[in-house]
Amino acid sequence: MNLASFAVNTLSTTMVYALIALAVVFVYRTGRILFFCVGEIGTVTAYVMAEVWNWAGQTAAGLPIAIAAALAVDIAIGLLLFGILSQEKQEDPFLGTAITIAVGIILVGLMSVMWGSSVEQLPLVKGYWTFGGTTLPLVGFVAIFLGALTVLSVLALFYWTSIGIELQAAAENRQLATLNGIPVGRRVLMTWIAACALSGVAGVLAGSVSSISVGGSAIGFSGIVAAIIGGLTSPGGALAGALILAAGENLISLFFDVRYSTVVPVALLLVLLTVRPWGLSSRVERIFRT
Amino acid sequence: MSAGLPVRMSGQGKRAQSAVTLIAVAVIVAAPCAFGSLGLHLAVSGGLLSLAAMPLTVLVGSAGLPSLGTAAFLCIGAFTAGILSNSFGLGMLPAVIVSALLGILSGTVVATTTLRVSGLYLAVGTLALQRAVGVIATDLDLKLTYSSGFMLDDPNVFGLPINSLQRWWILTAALMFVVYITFRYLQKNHVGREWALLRSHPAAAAALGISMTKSRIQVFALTSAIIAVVGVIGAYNLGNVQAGTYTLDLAIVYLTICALGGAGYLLGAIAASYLMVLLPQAIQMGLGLLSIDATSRAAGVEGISIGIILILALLRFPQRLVAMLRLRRPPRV
Repeated sequence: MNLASFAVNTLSTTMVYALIALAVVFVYRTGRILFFCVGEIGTVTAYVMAEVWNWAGQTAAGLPIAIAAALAVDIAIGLLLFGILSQEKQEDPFLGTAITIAVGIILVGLMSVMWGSSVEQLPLVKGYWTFGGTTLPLVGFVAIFLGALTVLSVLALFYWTSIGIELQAAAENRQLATLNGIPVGRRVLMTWIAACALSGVAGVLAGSVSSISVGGSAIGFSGIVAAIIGGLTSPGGALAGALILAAGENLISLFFDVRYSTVVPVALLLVLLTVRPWGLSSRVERIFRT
Repeated sequence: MSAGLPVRMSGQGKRAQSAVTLIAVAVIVAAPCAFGSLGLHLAVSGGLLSLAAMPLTVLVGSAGLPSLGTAAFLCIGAFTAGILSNSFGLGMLPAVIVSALLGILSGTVVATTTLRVSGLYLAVGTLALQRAVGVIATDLDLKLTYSSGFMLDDPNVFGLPINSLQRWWILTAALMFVVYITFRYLQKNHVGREWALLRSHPAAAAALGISMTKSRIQVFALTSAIIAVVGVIGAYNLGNVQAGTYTLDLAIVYLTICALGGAGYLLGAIAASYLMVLLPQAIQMGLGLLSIDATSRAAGVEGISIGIILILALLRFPQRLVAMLRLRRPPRV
């Protein structure tokens, strides 16, 4: 592995983790819930997309249908999560987190019933790019481009549109936001759907870079750790966390063995919990962490 | 935690009550023998589940420290048993002692590293432990047994070989009794009250001079040691130790048991453990009735139903159902 392929690998992994971490951050900001089933949602989306695209014969015309099917799955899961969590009126954030864990188990069960242990491919882009003597798969570049585009547009939506500002207001003080006429319930539903769609994009990108399998849901844990490194409430911190994590994992698999790359998020998390539980950013916020 | 204060009874009433309890316990212990080997097998598996579920419900419910590290502690115990037996030729009792020490050690490490966090972050910290132990266990499994797992013979308890289902059930029931009595005593004792106060009113506990550091290390070390010992016994019951057994899913099954049984309720944990054991049987039977090939998809279906049960338990569905039934019942005249 040389520098160019290391950079492409690291950046495409960063994009996957960043998308997941953004989903985690948005959900945490609105409801203090740690979104545990991100990886599972991503994998389900990727499976559905691969299945529909295979059914359409892997043609360019089939791609919009596949994307629409994948989005429909994400919207359905978002609605389901919102529906379940709005039943829960005990104001205990850990309960909500446990419910997302339960949804994760259900999704894993669903996947093993429907697809068993089959490993699917999602060849979004075929072909290679020879670059200064090294041949790199084109799909890596496409993943980086699509991921960056999604991340930037989501951040722009969050910071520069009225809907994004309303979301921030609802996260900061729900009662005050309601008094100011912000439809908080609708905004929370929107956050859930957006978070599911973000994890879906992450799952599809991860699936097209490598392959889709039930075990691929492990990307969710890395994404959550990336969000925690960033302090769980800051989108910028989540991006930094994703980059640190992806670089660490790829360095380990470069110098040691791919098997040990799972140690990186664990070690980072342990260091963080003992030294800086509030994450990288030392910004003092009104948002309390449970 | 028990809801009210313990009711003081006269000596005679107390004696009568304990006699009734003893008879009930004896009947319950004898009951599985009537259902043959399947009944005994289910009784042992449920008992082993409840042995680890009781410490967890104390940790999560009484002390308010959510943990996803149950499978990791079980794994520590099981691998201690496997390595001691295969590499050193030692039996179950040495494994129990060593794994208890390792459980205390790892519990203390977890408690000290997560002292500054609570709630969600604590759960994430224990999840990190789960991942770390999983990686180490997979590595040990690969290097020492070429991923075929450690094989364990039938254990000996003080010269008595535990080689039949009856003996396993007696051992399990005895251990369940000991664990239940220990935690019941602790919950009523000043130690358990300290844990509960730290959970519900941390500031008041601090004002009363209760040390959070000491208390947390205490509860983590104790529960981890017991869970690790249960890991040893469970491993001997299975006869085979593999890293793949002790996944996050197992930890979540235990969390589901605690949620289903009501946080902090020991008897609830036992009842929920048996529900969890009977559930896959019921699913298999149901699928068999519908003539669906259950063998390949059973794990997935089991996962789905465990998830649904966890959600229903978390949303307090049983309690709501009871409340609804109470409303419908015609008033007594």
